[in-house]
Amino acid sequence: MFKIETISNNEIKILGRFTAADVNAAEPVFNQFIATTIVDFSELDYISSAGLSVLLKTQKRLKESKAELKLVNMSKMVREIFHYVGFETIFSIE
Amino acid sequence: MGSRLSITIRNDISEVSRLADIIELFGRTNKVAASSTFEINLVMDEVLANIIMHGFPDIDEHIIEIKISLNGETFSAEIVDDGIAFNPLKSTKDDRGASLEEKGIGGLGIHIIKKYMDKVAYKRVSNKNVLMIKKVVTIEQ
Repeated sequence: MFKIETISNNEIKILGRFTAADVNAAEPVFNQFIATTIVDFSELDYISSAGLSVLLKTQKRLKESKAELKLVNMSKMVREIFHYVGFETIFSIE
Repeated sequence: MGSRLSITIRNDISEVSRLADIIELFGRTNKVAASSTFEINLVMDEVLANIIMHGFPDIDEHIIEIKISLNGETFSAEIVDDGIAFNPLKSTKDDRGASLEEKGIGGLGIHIIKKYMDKVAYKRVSNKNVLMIKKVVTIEQ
């Protein structure tokens, strides 16, 4: 199961599995961001390349207006995926 | 002692979630560590999303057959589909080192499959794609 919780105007939390099956549900949420937004990963099990592509598209769009996604509280495994696909360098990860 | 399961799914992306639920249950039943099950499901998502989104040029329903098994600490899966011939191991795209501007969407899946599986093999048999993957998992005591 994948879920997105809104924490505040500029912070969301993603939970469960972020996979190809979840892109259609996730995209409208990420498309709404117009300023720097914090994404809390603390309860995310894993993210597949389909989920990564949603983050990548959003990051590209936000960077054009000098904003960005800030990714926080990643598990070791999720961090490893980011490292492996070369995404560590294009996101701010705390 | 071994454990095995056959699952069929339709070429509908929502089916990948149902498969992930089944594999999670299979993992829990066989005391596979959650971290190993996550890695297996991540790879299954990459494999099946690719088959479902790119394998079928028609709009017909297709059935994808998946067999999973656990023998000792070795998890194996065989994924069979009747889509267009596609050997994921021959994908050569690699822009993992590219900058944000240059990075493309897609092409990352095969790298994830290779990273998390110990063995990946592909063959084309009777007009079907057969992908076999193996992984040594952690079993909880």
